[in-house]
Amino acid sequence: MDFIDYYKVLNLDKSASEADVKKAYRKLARKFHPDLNPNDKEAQAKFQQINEANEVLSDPEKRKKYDQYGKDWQHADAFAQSRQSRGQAYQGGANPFGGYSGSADFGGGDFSDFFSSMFGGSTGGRSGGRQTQFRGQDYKSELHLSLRSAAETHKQTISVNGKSIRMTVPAGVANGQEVRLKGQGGPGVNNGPNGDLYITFIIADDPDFKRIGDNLYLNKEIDLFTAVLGGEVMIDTLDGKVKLKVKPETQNGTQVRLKGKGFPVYKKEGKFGDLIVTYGVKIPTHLSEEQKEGFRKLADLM
Amino acid sequence: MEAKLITIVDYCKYSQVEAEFIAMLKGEDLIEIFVVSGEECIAIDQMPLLEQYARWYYEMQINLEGIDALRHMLERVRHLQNSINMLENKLRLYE
Repeated sequence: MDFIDYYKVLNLDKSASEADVKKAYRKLARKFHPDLNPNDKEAQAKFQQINEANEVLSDPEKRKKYDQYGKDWQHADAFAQSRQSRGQAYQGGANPFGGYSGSADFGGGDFSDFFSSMFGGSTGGRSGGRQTQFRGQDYKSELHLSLRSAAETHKQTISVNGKSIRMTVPAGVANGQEVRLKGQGGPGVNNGPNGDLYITFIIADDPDFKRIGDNLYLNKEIDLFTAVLGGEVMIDTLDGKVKLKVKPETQNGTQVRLKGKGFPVYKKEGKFGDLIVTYGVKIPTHLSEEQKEGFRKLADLM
Repeated sequence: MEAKLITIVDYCKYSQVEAEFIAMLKGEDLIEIFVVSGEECIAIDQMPLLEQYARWYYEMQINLEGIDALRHMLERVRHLQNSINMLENKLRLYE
């Protein structure tokens, strides 16, 4: 666990006034606040530091403790106890900042280990002196799915803040799509409504199929002779194998569209995109002299 | 479906948001206010939006004009992000 220089985080020096802290916090919050940097984890992490620095430096008691012990924060409580035992007054006792409560409903999230260790168990805080005491905190979570599981409506149980939530994942969800589970966030206060749970679906790449919107793309190798003379090939679809006729004289890169064999359309039951099969003609290798001779004869005929 | 409402008086009591601020948002068409039995209310569904505007206003000192501009910019960011996602998915075809 490393020491965090909160002054450096807010670009301030130690003589900064309360107004300077406020101003620096606001300036940086406008740059890094998660509301203004959607889906930017780097900005979110930076904002957590800024929020934490503000939490400490804008609170006279916390700032005093932080300034007093600085890099010796690990010994802060020990120092305090020894001072008390010598009969000297220590403002607020050994754990003067315990019991702070609030709600980090703008994505401020958890505080660092350094903060927790120095200031006791934190529960987050809504900076700027305002605390929500009504609507519960919104939670965010990710749900990782394979492409094939995203193609079927199914139930999933996810664990958020120690609570198991069973949800239905509708067929056809897209990578990066966010859904809101109303009322599944933090509990409301003073009869306020619960917060919401936002789930982002992360869909892994599939080794066989690529997906664009509701269409699926599949590459299928065919041998030279099937490409030239025509024939049949078996291809995989999401719901089993399908036999396809290959037309004679099929060129490399030819695409065949199989209507309705693609990905299910989100929340439109029975509707599917298309499957687009791209043929890749495989040129024979390691030919014997006799086979090469055959190709030479063929070349002469062309 | 009927929207669940909360009176502005009740909301302001607990959320530390001033009624004047909500009225200003209404004035800029940033939030909808319903009047039920003579009492001004907001829809529970609008609360996340209202909280977001309150954060911008109280914590970052962004004024109403700034809130409106940010709202438009974030909408554009969302559209652009969707376009990037689409293009990234298309690029994967050639990987």
